[in-house]
Amino acid sequence: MRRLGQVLLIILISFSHVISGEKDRSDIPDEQRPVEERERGDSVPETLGKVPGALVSFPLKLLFTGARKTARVLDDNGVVLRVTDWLTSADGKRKVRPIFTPLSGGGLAFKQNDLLKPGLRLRASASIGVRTRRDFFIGLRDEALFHPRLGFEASAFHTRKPDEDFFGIGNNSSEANETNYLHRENNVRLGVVSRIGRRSLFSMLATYSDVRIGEGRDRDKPSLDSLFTSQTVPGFFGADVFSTGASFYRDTKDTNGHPTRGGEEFIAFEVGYERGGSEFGYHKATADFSRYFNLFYKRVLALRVRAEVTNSIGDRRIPFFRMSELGGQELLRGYRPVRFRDRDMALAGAEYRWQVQHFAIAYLFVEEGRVFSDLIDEFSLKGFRYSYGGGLRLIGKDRNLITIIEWAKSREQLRFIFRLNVGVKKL
Amino acid sequence: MTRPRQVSRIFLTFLSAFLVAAIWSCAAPKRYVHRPLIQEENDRRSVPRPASRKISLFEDAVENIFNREIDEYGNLSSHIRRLGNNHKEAKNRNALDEAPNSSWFTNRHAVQAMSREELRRGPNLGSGPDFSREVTIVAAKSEGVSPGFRVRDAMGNQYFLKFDIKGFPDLNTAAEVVTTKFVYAAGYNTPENYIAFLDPKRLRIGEGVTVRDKSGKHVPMTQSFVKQILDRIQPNADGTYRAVASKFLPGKPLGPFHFAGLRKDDDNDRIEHQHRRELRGYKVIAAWLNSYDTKANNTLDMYATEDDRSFVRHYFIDFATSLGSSGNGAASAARGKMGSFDLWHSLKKIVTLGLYVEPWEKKPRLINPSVGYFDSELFDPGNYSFIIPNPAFQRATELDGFWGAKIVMAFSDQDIRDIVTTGQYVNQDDAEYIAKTLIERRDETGRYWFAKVNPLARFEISADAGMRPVLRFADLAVAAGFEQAEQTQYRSKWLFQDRPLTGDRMVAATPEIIPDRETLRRLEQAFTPEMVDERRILTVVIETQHRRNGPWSKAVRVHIYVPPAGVGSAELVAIER
Repeated sequence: MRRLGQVLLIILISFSHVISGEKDRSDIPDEQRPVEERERGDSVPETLGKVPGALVSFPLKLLFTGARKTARVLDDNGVVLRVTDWLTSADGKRKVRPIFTPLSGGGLAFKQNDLLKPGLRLRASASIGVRTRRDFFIGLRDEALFHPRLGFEASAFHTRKPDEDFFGIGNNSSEANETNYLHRENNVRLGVVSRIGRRSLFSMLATYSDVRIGEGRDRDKPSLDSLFTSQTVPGFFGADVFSTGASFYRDTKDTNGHPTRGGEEFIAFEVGYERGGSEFGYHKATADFSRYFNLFYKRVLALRVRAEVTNSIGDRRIPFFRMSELGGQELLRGYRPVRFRDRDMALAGAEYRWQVQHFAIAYLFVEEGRVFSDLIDEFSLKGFRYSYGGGLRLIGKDRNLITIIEWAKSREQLRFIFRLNVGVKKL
Repeated sequence: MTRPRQVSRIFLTFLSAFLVAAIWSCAAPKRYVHRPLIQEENDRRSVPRPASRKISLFEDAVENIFNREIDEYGNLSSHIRRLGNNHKEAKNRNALDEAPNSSWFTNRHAVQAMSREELRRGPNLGSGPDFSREVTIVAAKSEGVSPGFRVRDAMGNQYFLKFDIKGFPDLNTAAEVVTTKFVYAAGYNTPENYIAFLDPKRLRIGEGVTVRDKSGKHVPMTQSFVKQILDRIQPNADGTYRAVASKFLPGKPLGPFHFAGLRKDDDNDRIEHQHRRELRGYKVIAAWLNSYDTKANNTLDMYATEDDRSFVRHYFIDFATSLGSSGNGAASAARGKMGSFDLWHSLKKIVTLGLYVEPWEKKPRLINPSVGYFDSELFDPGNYSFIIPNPAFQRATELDGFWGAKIVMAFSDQDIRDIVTTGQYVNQDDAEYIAKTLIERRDETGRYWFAKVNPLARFEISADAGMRPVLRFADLAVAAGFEQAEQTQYRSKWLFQDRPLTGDRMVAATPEIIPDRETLRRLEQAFTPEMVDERRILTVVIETQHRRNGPWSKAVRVHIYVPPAGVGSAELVAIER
């Protein structure tokens, strides 16, 4: 019976063009009939032919039809235009962008150039995340306030990270010693900046930081004080730190987004003291160099080295939150953020980048790094941690970074990272 | 029976049914009758005015990049057609496989050669705008990527003004004017586009002219807004600005048309746009001209009134993204080779870790500022990619491609040079480069599409000195110099009611078929005087071999009406490829 049904179905569909009234082949061909008299739409077999595919594609189509309708509503009401106009200015001086990182959560970043006077730049951002994470930043800079080559910079920063990880100090800190703490910091900074040529900037800044360490909000992990003490971890309760420093930054990249030659150089020196106490005092030197090589047709090899050396001043100690760090988005990406801490660190990385679309850059990277208690005396190639991975960077029309989608692997974990509109200064 | 087996049985049943249907639809030959050729599409009847509409760029992109793609992948009958190489042909073509004249298209240069003056004039009816006196801005230009205004000239005519971007003199304006002329001569409706020179001192903001401010509200247009626009434009040494003045089209604007579906409130719109010959075939013409941005918003429907009839006329309106121009500077060398969201190229680069270098990556970014980037070396007419998938182009078949290629090939070297001069390039070397590139791309186009079908055309029936019927035709591949006449031969078979009149195939070295004595005798027997007039159809099947010992091409079936003795002459009825 079923077989008979199948045969009947075949016959029915085969002859459905006749049933549906479609002209028989023996009749006048369509091309000889006036256009307005020709059949509209598809024949019955063709309509039926769409059914199996339509069933499979229905959920996807529903999604995209939804997207299309939404696009239409947004466009009809000028929402996109209004929001874009509101967020940005046609001359590019003002821009508001959504931002997101797993660490800081989501929020908005705002920039305004030529605020009140030409050359005065305002930057501000605010983001919030789970477990009351928050980051607020506001900064002003005018590189030619006092003289065409001498300006000022001032900024204020507040962060609250309720579930920071701490594994101990040293390159051999164990994953098993993972503890959790709250880091809250208010920070104000003021200083002078001097542009040297078009590509270099020299800054001298004084910073006051109020750092408070408390009990972490991640109840699944032991708290900092369950494994460590103020003796083993300097700065266990936080501290008020006043620091001054100088830095030099030179950017010789040919373009943003997907540089193919040039590089970036950053050198900084900082001295910090505990305000109102004599427990903490340190000085830190940082050097960070990156270079871009166009291998062939914009396939780029990017190399980077970074080193930090932190020393205590006299018999003072270095608060753990001012020590060198490794792990996280810009420093050994395969490890979780601030996986390793010690006085000094060294990092080297290589990244191979290539453009897959005009707005998308794919990359593969490998990097090695380790922390040292004394980089100069103890330096050895042994004990370096490595991570590797790859990802995709999406860049906007202005060649600025929009999105990072990245996979990074280390001996400890495989990390998937998504970031929106938060630039990578280094590799 | 288990459920998966049941499902696979049902699937197989459907599949077999469609295969049978597909074979059935291919099997029976068409029976042409003696009928007048459809040369006009009756789509200019008076209809009520359809509603104006806007098509959002996002909506158009989502619809064409995702929704239609999903539909196409899930369409079983389309896959079966593809398997059987039985693609759905355009629905509005006539029996000679041509597009009849309609509100969309008018057969022009390819059918009846236009004079050099006509080609240079294109759609322009007048001498262009009068900017010698005050020019009044009546609106800001809100569409398109190139900066501009809507103005009223001293004669009271309204024009859209579009300019050259700073650093790219002549680029936008020349591309717009030159492409307009080609598209018009090809047969499409286009606006009148003129190169004009505007003295900014004569520019005045009209009363009540508004622009949208940052919050989306309409606010009066100010001089600072005009200055903002002019700051982006390439000035001439004398302080004037070179512009394309695009004359306001006659009628009421109704918004863009889609390249698929119907405008439901237009009773004249009866053929789904994706099945219109002129829209499918435009793929070839647009590719030739590097007009890679064929989104809906570069089209416009106008509610026009002619001879007391009001109907919708369909226009292509924006050609700033053509030749070497992107409308906002130079076109990228990748344009035409990959779409704006080209998954395949991205995957290829990801999988090969960037080791695979696309040919266009090896090219410079710019030929020069007035030319932008425009080449013929990398032009692949069969695989040209538009930035957003175009549903009509995606359904274009070899016959649509052949039709488009015939139009492209109708432009001689001199025609191309004549039209390019209308771009008024300041540097003659630029004009020569554009013309040379267009000539090379034209030949690539012809070579590709003429090889896809049997490229015989321009069939004529006459009688030789012995009063024997002669079927003469042109071999377009030979005529264009792609194939050698001395290497080419044609073989034919004469059919009556799908049965061969004789068993032998005749071979001819020249593009004309003359029946032999036996065929003539059989013809006389077959076409009896009492035969119904409509059915007196003779079919000549012609195959072509362009190289000795090479393969024979697909057949062209030429259907001829054979009148009773002494009553009129033989007529061409249909051509089947």
